[in-house]
Amino acid sequence: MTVHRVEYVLHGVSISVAAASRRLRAAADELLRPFATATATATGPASTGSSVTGAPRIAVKLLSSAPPDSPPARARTWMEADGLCLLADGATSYLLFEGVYYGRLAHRERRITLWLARDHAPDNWTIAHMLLQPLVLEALRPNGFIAVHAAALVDAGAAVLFPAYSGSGKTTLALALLRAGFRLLSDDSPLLRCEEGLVVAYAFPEPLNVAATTAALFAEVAPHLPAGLQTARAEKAALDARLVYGDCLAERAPVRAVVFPAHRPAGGSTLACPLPKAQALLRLLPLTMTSAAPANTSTQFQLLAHLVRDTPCYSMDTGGDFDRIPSIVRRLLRDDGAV
Amino acid sequence: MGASARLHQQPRRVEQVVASELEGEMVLLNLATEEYYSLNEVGTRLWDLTDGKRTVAEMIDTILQEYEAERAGVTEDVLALFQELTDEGLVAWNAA
Repeated sequence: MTVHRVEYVLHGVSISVAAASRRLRAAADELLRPFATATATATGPASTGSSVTGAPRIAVKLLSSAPPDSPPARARTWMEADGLCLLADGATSYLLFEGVYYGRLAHRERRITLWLARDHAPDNWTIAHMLLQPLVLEALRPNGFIAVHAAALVDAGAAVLFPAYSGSGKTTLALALLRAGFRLLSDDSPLLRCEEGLVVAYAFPEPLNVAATTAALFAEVAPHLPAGLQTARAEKAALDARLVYGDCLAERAPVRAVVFPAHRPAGGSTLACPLPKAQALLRLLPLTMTSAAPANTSTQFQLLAHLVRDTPCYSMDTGGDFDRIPSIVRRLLRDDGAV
Repeated sequence: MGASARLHQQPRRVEQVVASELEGEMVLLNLATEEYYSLNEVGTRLWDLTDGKRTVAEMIDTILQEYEAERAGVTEDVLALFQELTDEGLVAWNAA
């Protein structure tokens, strides 16, 4: 059997992927592509030795067979959202999507296994984002990373976070800022880590998820929406921002502003105002992924509390004045107060 | 147990609760249920005083020293808050 093996490095963490087919390798590539550092094709079982770079290692196996077992009945649910269900029993987590068991994470060994039987495997977008991504994010916790549901962009070395649920205009904001020269960390799920007293935002390598209604607002985007890269959500398409805005990706930057966006119902002008810190934390907490281990959830809480305590927080009603938004956000990053 | 019987008991914070004070407001996370809560200024002060050693009556005395308020109203509010914190699994009670 041929094993397609690829080695990625994500912010110093080696992720070794062994896939049973080119198609499954492509699914992993869709999630981790911007950080690929080495590619190799080999035969035989995937090795379990140290990584190419010597960095801490997460090992991923994508198999084209049915799972050999089921999650134990005693396993407890630790996350349930959008059809996804994560269970834990001892040091192993189990992932079900739309009621089907697909894979597991052995926490101690940091080993992810997905079983994607040929006849029943979902599309590559679903494999990458609904099956692989949650397990990779959980496996990254020993390295201090937590994921937050937010857009994150960088200007002059300072990151701004826009935490919000899907449909709140994160991608629209990201495009408005990219157009004005900001750099992109993520439009949906950046990673956060505390380093020397600062909360630093890191890129998570995903394409932008652009809705047709958003694309209609940014004429430069439309020619680059590839018909072959439709996401699982039919109304959105995956877009590599570099095709439109050139060298526009950033890898990391300290967070200097947290801005909670909301659509202004009647369009109009964008308006931002300071948000009390406790309110900011209460809004941020549901936008982070819980962990299988309560100790990780506690660490995550302290990191988010630290973030809102040390960083100016705002709510921003976003109007249709996309040309003004970059200058508003730049003022917030300089902590110029309400605008 | 009647609420007033709590007056001479010592509440303590439950271990599975993490808390952070932000601008005088306490935000709590119950790790067992993953529910979030916030406490106002007086609630935050009471959370600080909840150390498993002080009785509720002692805490009420402290609040009355720090805020201008009627004892009856404060007693009612404090007992109601501790009932809520108990119901949500955020505090437990040491034996009298």
